[in-house]
Amino acid sequence: MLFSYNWLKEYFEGVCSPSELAERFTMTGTEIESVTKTGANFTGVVTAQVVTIDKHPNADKLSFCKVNTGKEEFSIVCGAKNMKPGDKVALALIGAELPGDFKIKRSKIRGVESEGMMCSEVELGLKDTSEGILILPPDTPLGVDYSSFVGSDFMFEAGVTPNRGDLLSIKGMAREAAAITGAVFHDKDFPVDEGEANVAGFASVEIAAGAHCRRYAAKVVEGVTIGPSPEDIRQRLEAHGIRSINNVVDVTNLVLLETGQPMHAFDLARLKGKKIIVRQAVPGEKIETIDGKERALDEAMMVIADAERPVAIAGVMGGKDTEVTEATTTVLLESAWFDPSSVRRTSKKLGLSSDSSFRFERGVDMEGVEKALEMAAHLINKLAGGWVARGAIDIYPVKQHVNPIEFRVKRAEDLIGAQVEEAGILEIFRKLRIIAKKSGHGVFSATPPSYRVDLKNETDLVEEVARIFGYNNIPTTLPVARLIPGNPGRLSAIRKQVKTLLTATGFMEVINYSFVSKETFSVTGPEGKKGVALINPLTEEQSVMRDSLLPSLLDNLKFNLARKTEEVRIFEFAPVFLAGGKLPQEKWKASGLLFGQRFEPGWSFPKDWVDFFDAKGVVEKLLEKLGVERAEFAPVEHPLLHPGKAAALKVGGKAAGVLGELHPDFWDRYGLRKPAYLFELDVDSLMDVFGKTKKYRQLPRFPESARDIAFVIDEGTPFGELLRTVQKIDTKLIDKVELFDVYYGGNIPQGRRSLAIRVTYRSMERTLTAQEVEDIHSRVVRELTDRFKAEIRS
Amino acid sequence: MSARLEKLASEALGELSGASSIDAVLQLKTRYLGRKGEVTALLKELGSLSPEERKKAGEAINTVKASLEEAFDEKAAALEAGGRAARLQKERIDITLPGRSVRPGRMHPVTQVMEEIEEIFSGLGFDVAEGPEVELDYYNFEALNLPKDHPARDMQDTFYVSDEVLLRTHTSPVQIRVMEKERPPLRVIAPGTVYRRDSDITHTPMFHQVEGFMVDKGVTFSNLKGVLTHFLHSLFGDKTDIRFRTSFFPFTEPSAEVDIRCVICGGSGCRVCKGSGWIEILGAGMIRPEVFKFVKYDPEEFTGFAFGIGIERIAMLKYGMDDIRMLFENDLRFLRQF
Ligand SMILES: [Zn+2]
Repeated sequence: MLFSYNWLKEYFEGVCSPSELAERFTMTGTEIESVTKTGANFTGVVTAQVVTIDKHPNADKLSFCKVNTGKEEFSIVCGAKNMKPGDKVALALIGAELPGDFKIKRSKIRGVESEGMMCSEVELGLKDTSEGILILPPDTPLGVDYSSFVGSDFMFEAGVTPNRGDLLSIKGMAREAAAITGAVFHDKDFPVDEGEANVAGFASVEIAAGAHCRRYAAKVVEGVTIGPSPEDIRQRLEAHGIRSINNVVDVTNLVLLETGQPMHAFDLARLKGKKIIVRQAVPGEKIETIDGKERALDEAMMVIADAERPVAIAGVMGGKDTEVTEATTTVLLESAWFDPSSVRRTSKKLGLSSDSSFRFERGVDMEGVEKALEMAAHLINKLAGGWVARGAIDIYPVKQHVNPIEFRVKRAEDLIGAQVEEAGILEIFRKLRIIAKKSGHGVFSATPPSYRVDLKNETDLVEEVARIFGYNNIPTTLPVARLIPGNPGRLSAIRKQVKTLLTATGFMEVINYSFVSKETFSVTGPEGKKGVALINPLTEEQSVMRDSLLPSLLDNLKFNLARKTEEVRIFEFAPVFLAGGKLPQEKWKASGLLFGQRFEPGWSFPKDWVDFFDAKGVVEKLLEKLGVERAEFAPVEHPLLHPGKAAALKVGGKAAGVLGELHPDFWDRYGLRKPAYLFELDVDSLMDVFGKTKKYRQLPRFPESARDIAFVIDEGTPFGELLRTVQKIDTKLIDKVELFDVYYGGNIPQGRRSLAIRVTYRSMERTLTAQEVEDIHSRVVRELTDRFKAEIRS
Repeated sequence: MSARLEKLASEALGELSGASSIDAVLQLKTRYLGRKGEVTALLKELGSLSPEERKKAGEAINTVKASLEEAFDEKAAALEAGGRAARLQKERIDITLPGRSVRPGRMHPVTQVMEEIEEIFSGLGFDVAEGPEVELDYYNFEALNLPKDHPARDMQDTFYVSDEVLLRTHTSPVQIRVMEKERPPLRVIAPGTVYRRDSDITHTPMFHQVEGFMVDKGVTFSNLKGVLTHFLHSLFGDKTDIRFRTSFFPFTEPSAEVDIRCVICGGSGCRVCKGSGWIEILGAGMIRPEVFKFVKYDPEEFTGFAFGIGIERIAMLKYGMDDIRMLFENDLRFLRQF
């Protein structure tokens, strides 16, 4: 919220400097985001009078003027058209300095000498826009430094927290400033000169059952003359971000800014039946609001109606048909209290927020309704003339009652952790206008002022005590607690392990948004699957929660290739979201992508491209690190993966992820000319086996005996199957089976391949005899030849 | 005899000085000093001399023999040393070529900051807890004293999945979930991903937070200051100035915003701190009794504090970044720098 320091000062004695005040506000809960000096930011500008205006001899659009300062006459070339002889103007003389480092020099404009410049408000830095030069009031004295007319001020930009609706006004800020600086606050009085005619004769007000309105007050001013407001009022409004409309509307806005009470002025002549009814809207009702838009209303919205139709949306915006125009002679002023939630619901539903709704939502002082009304009547009377009808209509069925709060000094000190003491607390309450009565030992009955709608319970008062006492006066102490180290939890622990291993293996960690486009979501299939979609995404690109991390990694690959980073090894550790249930299922995944050369390109590495087994190797290393003892890989179909180069991972018999080569159908989409490899592991499945305590296994005490076998076998026979079969022949005596060569081509027939394995035989109990080794080895060879139709080569 | 001996010795030394290989030296050594060598032959002639002369000549021959032997060995050693030096010279490599290794990857800067924070709190005995990112309105707002239609909801622009389901806007719902399940004393941090409907140079629609809270008998605002001061000093250095100022959060009271002295300008005012000399680093406060009532704790028995830290903001300050969006572009040239 913007507020003027000068305006604030109308309520004080002894307030501190603008910068000190800003600091105090910031420390006590209202952050001052900026303080801007406004007003005269120029020198060498004096008041003067236009004497003659002639056409410039060489330019149609320019004029040549004689301008007099009362002492001297100057020749001025001017481009504006809005002045006439006799007008008073602000004249920048030679040597004047205007905002934006603009210095006025003697100059020739199209061959004619100009001895200065008649200024516009924009040129003087007083406004953002202006039409033509500034014409001063006729009674302006001549030859006076114009900066003395402008004065100076400081505009504060305050971040008011949502609980402090009472600060959304000059008066509220002034009360707060007094409390936090010790300055003395004075309220203002607005005496109203009332006429003979009683307000009751002009209009009537009714609050219908069910309406969320606890107070509605009105005053009537008849015989007003609508016209523009005086300059000082227009400037004040504009400095606070409100456009000047006419004297009556400006008054309602001025009252809103000064007191925080939203006001509305109706043209009484246009209210059917001279009646105000506060009620809920009826379905199908419509209203054209003053911004010229038609709004459809429903029964959840509260309206102000006349005898026939809605004339305003309560607390949000008035209607076009009953607004104050130049034709208006009698105005009905509304000052009311509407329920915050009701105003907020209506405002949200209509997508219409206003200075008024903003304040009602945050709580307006129910007790301030009448005073604001008086201020408005006083000012309208002053600016627009007319007669104020006697008295006010004030429908206030149940007077607001502020309940006293029980406040315990000890509780406050226990929460804060500082000795504030009774006297200190009472002094703080006094500053905040909280009335405290002692009701027991160390206990007070404290009644906050009516405008502090945020103070409802003891804790609210404790915060008041703490903030006025000063957070920086509260000691800094460490708590007393049990000496127990923190438990990181299983997810955090496994995450750390996975990240550590993958980065050590050369992978960079990426973090992608959890939401993707619908199209990206569909990439991982199956068609028509249901996702977790956002109702209100920022863009279509971020509209569905992803169910796989792989498309994001592929997008990262594409992004980096476009930036000439051609070695890409990345991983991400994040949850994916699966529709179903009250909340979607969140499954943590550890996923990675490999693209580029196997070794970092350099002067001494072979330049091989990564392949499936690099990806598999990473996965195997990771499983080993996490303590997985047995993992199975089986061929699998996956929409993103090459059908012949894809594997499903099983751990402990449960599906635990996939890995494989990106399906060539996707190369174009991601701009690839070489294969990329992907893996996605299911963290939950790994969690089951992760972190088991490792058990020591005895080292072998008896010698081993290793035999190599090379054989030719059908290409389609998976090595994994063969391996398991051989291992099972004798789990006690076969210690290890290792593959050390795979060979295709040459003299190996098409469709076959040559494999070479080394089988290590060993017993944990004794040294095997040559005969024993021979026996079991021949069983291995037999199994290979009989079962796998292997042709032994050596 | 002595003349012949002298001649022989000078011949041998002459030839030795011309020898250029160890082989040549060994050949010379055999020729002069071997069993059939020329010096050895002189010894054989001693028999024809008188005992007195024999003794004298014998001594002379042996002296020459010993000095020759020494000369031969010295020469051989010199030649050998020269040869090794040459070989080593030949084996010389260009040690300025780049080294060969597997280049390790890096953790994302957000992870690095998050882990640093986790470690500091782990040292203070805080457990780690996590909760869902797609969350019920109840946990994200309602139970945190943010009823529907409350204007404070405007502080956090929310992504919705349905009327009751949303993307959590902070990690505070974990506070409720943990307190629902466990009884005090509690010291917990909840790191995680959060979402707000906002996107510009200082906001991304997804970012990270670490929520923390402590609930026990007798926990005070003064303790909150103590723990957070320790935390900020650990993260930014012991000499960092810290200030606590009043703020508002619906789920804490008294609430505080915590600032550190601007790390860029040192307090004189700059673009990063918007001229104030201070940088807002986290929000905190004493957990409200209303929140305790939702989880059935007696607010007269237990008190507690909670705080929330934005990770990206700290990463940006730490690394001097000015555009938060860089963190989620995943440009490897950027990520390699951390
Ligand atoms: Zn700074």
